[in-house]
Amino acid sequence: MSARTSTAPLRTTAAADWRALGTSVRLVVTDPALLDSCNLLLARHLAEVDAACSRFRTDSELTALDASLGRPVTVSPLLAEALAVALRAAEATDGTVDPTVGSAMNAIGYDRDFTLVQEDDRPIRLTVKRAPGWRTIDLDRTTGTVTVPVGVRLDLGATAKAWAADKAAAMLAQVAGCGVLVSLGGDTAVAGEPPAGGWNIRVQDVTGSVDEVPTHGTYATIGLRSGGLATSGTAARRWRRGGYELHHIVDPRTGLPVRSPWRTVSVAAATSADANAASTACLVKGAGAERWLTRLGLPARLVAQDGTVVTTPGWPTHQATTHGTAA
Amino acid sequence: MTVKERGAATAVRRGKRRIAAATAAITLAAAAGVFALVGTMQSDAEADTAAGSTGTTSSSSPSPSASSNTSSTSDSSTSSSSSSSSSSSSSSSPDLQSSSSGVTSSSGGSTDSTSGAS
Repeated sequence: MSARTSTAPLRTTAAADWRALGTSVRLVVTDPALLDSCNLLLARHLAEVDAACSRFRTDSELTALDASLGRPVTVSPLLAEALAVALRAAEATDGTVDPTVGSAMNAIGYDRDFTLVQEDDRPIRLTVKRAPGWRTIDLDRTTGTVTVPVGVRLDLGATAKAWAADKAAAMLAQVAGCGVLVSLGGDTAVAGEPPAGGWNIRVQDVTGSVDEVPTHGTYATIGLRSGGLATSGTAARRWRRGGYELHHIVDPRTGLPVRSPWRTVSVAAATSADANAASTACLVKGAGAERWLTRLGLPARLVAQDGTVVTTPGWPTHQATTHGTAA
Repeated sequence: MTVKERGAATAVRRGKRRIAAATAAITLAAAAGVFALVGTMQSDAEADTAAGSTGTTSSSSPSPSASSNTSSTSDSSTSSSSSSSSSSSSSSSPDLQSSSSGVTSSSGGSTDSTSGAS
């Protein structure tokens, strides 16, 4: 875990970087004196999310659902909310972001923490098999019960991090009374009063250090004053198995890693969860993604496999750039 | 050791115990929940206590120099937008919600965060 204070003209922030949920965590606050306290709360929040939603922990609530044998199970309010967000994302994206791809993820070898997936060399057999579908999941928010059909494995990886970032940013801004940015693997949520000029966020193919400008691919820096920003892409979380080049964005229609005309999609929305649902859906929707985003009024930046950049209305056209590859 | 020295040693031990107890109390208060932490943070702001070591684990915390706390944030207006703690991510609306003015051109300066695939 590392932390530091940055002072620029008219804006003072402090940031901490560490890892949780199998990804990078970055917390930035506009009141440096409150960084440690906010970080403590964030760590606690993410520990609770992990205990509820992890697909890789044998003691998680989500794993326990695998043994429910189709019976209704009462879950914690936290898992119920995470499931509600996942099901809403599925409905809003026409089923292209579907939480029932857990079995498909296991089938392509992503059945453990990603650091272990890369070291695993067991052979796999790729077969086309449609995911069971989000409509097979019955969630009763009033009673907090969920029914998962026998054989269906849930994966909240597409939505849980963004949702957790939203919750954390809102909670921290409320208790700390300052501007807060929470990024979980690039799924970014901001709340409270932003620093002067807004939060500067550099969108790029792969989430990385703020100090390391990407040497490959295009990037752009935008300002974010509220809501969320998320980027999905196939350039990260890739692995090879049995001669196959695989990645973690699965098309629910085939159960296989999606083959998309887009390499990277960044979307700004009212929440990071909505932004992430949209950006992931775009990879699956493929060629129709730009029109779909425009219809929803979501500002976005799409990078094609050949590096061509397309933006939708509302995405800033004047972007801060520092290198020739920025776009 | 003289009586005076023994007394001084006892006072030091008592002071250490008090600091340890205070640290534990603050840590527990923070872990107990959000509302407890509000009080902790407020007292931190108001009193110049040595709260920097209140159990924030191994973080190499920033040193909040007095001059750095001059951000443009007006803490008195804390509620409005941030009070929607459950956020619209748990909304029952099936439509993805746009942020009317959330995204803007960058003002330049340092990068606060990056967003990419992970």
